[in-house]
Amino acid sequence: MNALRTPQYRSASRRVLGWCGWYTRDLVPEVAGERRDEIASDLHEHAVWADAEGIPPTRLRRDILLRAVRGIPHDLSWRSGQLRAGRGLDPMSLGTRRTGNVLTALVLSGGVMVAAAAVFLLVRVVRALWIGDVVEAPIGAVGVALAALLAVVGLLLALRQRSRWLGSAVLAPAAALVGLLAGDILYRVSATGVLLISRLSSHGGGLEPWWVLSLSIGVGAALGFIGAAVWWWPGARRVVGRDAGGPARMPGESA
Amino acid sequence: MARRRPGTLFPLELDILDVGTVLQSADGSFYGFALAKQLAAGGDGGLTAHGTLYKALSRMTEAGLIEASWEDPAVAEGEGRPRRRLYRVTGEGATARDREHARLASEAAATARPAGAAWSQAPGAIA
Repeated sequence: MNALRTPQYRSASRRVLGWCGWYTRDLVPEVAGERRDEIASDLHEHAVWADAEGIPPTRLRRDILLRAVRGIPHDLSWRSGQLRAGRGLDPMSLGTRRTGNVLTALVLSGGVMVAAAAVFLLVRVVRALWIGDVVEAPIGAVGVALAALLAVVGLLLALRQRSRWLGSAVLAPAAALVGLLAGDILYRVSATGVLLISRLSSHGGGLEPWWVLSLSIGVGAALGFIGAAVWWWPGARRVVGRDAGGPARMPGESA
Repeated sequence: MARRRPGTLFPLELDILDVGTVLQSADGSFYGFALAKQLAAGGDGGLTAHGTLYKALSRMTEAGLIEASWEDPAVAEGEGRPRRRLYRVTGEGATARDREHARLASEAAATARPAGAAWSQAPGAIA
């Protein structure tokens, strides 16, 4: 039996290479790639040797994983040594990645807020119709329904790194729509909304302050989403990440 | 992590230099898993952990005790396997290995001497 083709070997080597990818993250591609290639070679040789020795796949899997686990302190210590020796990624790339992470958190939380606001407005409209507060749905309800749909689609797209730019772009009109329509909808279907909007409007001059406030928040959020979409635009920026050493190749597959 | 005494080698480093020299004399160079296999055969039977072995090799390469180079990809491809990182014990490595063996031998002798001396000076001891 060829140990290289067994699922036990494949799963063990995938885990070991995954761990290797983790502790070589942020290291310069050359160093990370060399470590990955050396481990891949070791795993391959181990499987070939186990085959020749008649070691069963389950024991091979256990031996490989035990070797990896026992070496964890040394892997981490090696990593610190490499970082101390200045073999980490340059600060610019690290800064770029950190900015990307912050942006992801902002877009996802912003998307959740836009979706929640749109759904809340829709629920209020349905409730007002149900209990007879209004005889017909406000004209903006269609826009809010569209915003809710866009927000959910945008959020789903933003969850995947590859389509994050598109998700962010889709969330922009959703945010603008919610900002544009929220004041009007609340004024028509919510008693609290009427009170709040009337109080704000009593201090205003020519423009309706509540509308300006709501629209400003919506447009501001939309501009933020557009900015994030531009940041993630395909091909605009490449951050060397955990796959710095190149695509993971199963050690069973020849180079 | 264990701290190295100045001018000495870790036991694993000495083992790598010893086993590496043997493998190198047979094949011209040695690689990680071949080393792990031989170390296991001469030790408690367990293969050295990935992290332990490759960290030691990396440290020894930087110290100039061994030198490393990647195998010709065409050779690896011809044999249907990933390319190996090949190591050779350098002159500096051989010197450090011999010095460490000499140091260990003198330490062992120094440890054995007082006991032997005490025995030879004991009352009634046979000269």
